Amino acid sequence: MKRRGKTARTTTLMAVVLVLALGSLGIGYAAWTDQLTINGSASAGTMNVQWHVTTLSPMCGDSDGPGGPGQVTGVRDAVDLKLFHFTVANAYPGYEAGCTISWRNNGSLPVRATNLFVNNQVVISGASSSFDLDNDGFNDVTIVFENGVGSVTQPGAGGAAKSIQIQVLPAFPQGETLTFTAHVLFDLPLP
Amino acid sequence: MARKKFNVVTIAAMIAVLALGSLGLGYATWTDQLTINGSATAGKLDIVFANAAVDTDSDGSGPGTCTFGLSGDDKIITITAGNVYPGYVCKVTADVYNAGTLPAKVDSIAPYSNPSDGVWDVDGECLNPNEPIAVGQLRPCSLTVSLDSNAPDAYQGDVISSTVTFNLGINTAP
Repeated sequence: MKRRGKTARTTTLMAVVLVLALGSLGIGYAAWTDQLTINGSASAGTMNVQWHVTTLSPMCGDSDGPGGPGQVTGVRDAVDLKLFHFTVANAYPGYEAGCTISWRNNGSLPVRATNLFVNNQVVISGASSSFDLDNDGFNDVTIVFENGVGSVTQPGAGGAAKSIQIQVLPAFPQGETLTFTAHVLFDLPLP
Repeated sequence: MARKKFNVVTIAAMIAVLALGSLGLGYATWTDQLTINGSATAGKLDIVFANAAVDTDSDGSGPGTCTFGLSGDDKIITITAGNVYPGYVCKVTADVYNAGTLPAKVDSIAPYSNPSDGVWDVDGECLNPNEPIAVGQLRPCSLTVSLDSNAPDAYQGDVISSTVTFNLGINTAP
């Protein structure tokens, strides 16, 4: 009985030793490995151009001067800083106003102005484009966008002043104030 | 009489001891010795990245950036494409180099997180499972990141990341 107990203890001891030996062997193997890692990350740039001026104050320069009856004023949209609202008041046929406006590139990519839009209709670059602001079937004003299309603005920079010329046509309704909203479309000036 | 006998026996015994002692000394000088000196040098498993370079930065000095960085032990390469825009391509190449003294092989490749979605395209080429890398051998790797030229505006400012890990062991195959 005593002999059997001693044999059992010996067997147990051998098993433990074997487990430890194999374990240490495993640790040895594990240490003989190596590892390579490739990390890749990419972040897309942003295009974010906003009108730099908040108001055309007191008003745009016009054909009848500061004391004249007609006036064109403008204000940047309070929410969407890419929109600019113009108001043409007390105007008359032949009245003209020239507004100087600029934008700022707050994105991380350079931008190039491609078109000015008035009420979502394109203004032909460098030429007169007519618009029916009150949707009565007759054009009320002509608008010319000068020096704007094709100009490139780098990130963090402000665009040079651009000129928007407005001329009132005979169909402009008497006694009414008309408004329009302008925005500029930009693309990436990349090869 | 008894005393004399004792002396004779004693002397004889001493002579025998001395004779046997001298014989033993003789035996002692007639010995030899063999020596085995053993030394062992452990091998080294050391796989690293080498020759990393920007292969393609599609706009050169344009707004897009394509860079890489290596960890101090040259075992981790980090590739970063920044200010990416539609049509931009960044490709970095590097060699996997067995700088150790033991042949290696790819034991496993950790799950590869690839953010490609048809607009972002991440294309990696490197080691394959069980691929052997002999001592001194170079294996080319590359990682290309691009944004589709028709990527919608929703991708502006988007960020992606991917990781692939190669677990390597000793190649014991002959």
